[in-house]
Amino acid sequence: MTIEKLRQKLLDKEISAVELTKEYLEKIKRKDKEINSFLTITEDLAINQAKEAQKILEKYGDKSPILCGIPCAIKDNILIEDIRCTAGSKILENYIAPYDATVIKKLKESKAVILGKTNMDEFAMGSSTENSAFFVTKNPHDKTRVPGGSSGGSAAAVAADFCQFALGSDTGGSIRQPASFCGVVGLKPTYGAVSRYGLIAMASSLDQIGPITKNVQDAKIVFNIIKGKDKLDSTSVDCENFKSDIDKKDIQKLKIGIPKEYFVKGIEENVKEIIEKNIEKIKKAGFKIKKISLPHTQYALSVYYLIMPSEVSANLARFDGIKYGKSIIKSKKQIANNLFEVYSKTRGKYFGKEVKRRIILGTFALSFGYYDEFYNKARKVRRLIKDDFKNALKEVDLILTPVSPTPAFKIKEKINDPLKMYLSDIFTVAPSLAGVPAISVPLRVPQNTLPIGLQIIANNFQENLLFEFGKIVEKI
Amino acid sequence: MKIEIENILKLARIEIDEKEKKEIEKDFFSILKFVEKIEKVKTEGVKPMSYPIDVYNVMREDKKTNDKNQIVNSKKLISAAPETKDGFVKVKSILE
Repeated sequence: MTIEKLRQKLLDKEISAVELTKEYLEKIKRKDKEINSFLTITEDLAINQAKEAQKILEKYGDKSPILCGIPCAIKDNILIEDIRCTAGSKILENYIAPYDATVIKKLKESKAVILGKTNMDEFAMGSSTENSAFFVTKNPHDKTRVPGGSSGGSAAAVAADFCQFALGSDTGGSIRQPASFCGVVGLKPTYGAVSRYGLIAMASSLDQIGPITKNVQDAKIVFNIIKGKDKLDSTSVDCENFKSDIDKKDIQKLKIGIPKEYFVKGIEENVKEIIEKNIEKIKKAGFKIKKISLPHTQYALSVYYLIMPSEVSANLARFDGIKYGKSIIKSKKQIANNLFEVYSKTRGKYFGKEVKRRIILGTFALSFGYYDEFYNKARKVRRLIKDDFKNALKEVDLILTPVSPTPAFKIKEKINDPLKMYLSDIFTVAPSLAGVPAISVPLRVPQNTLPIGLQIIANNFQENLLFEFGKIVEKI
Repeated sequence: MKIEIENILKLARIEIDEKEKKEIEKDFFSILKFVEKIEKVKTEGVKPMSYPIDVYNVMREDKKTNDKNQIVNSKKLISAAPETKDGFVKVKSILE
């Protein structure tokens, strides 16, 4: 199903927005027990929104907003006013959001229907959704495997058809990797393209909200709704920078780059095979393919695991047991003797292991005596990584790589070895560090094999190229 | 390099038991070993990069705004705090 077809059904009165919403809510109640993609189902909100959407559909017909009455799911680190927002953490288990994130305001204005909040790794830290403080989400393609992460709940909900589309957030691959694992489309927009206001911050120089959808055209539709400069996010960028649609006849002229550094050891043989087979098909379709080099690729994961934890340690300082969330002062068993202990005992008790690991690493990288050697050095290498992309994208229009070195792995397979888990993001972190947009598009795989995604990378604000080329990849 | 995990925990305001400390310490040093390889990269004359785009401070006048999008209900904000008193967030005394 596509957003446009679903919209046509609503316009043709084949089904009402309320009926459609109820159908989805029923399905979630019946079947999500097997997948565990939702943390909160927002039934009252959804029914009210659907009733309003129906009125608008009846009044304005095809003039009603594009998402009018279309059911969606939202990753649980994006605030919706008066709805619980946990970010997958115990510390926010009972937190009620006091306002709407800008992307939520935009979805509400376009009359989309919000069915619920999806599971995620705690504070978006993880690649399997196993770091959720609540439960493990399963991959709809194989329930013994992870859906990827950190937006695993959103990707699984779309793949299981519990909603038409979802929003996720991506810091180092958290939209693209779960999309690849679940066989759906995931877009990480250009840094600054989408407002982060109301997104619970993880690493502010990397975080971006983006759509997870069933097809590329849906991703384009949702992206066009949520993008744009926002007064409330100083890192958001003016829409004028966005390139308009490209001419159909110009698509064939696109030059495609294949970076040699992305096809080396560590990548699973069947992933390599399927990616290479598809690159061959793209070549046969008439596209010019060029071998390129992104020479600092081998350092990307190390740079990422210094910059991201540093920003994490600063951003998560706000969880102190005083302003919001759980606090040790409410505990019956433990006592805090002074303010310092309110902070340290609250954080020790309610943060999960991966969150603590990253805060500690970041605190270290920013600490006196180590700042230059670690954080500052990482920021310099980050610029070299960005320059790699800048130079490569002068020669080619798009870059193709695998999304992840493996398909979805088994639940518990990597949970006790953080470094092994981090390697799952080895192909997605570099575009994040550079800030360029990237989309994960599922490739055709033999029956009964796990989904594999192709990562397509473009220059800043060239999301349209990703969509147009992504549609070609979809059909190949 | 002598790194005291105890000291980092204090800076990070995180209190955990000995067992968890040992586990985190082990992970910390293996991750550190992995990220250390960036020291080999030549970065002389390279300007550190903070954001992928140029960012500027956004200033506004220091007065009450009427922009609906910028107003957050203060009652909702205060009610999120674990302890409050007379509409204020309550903290433990900071002077001994």
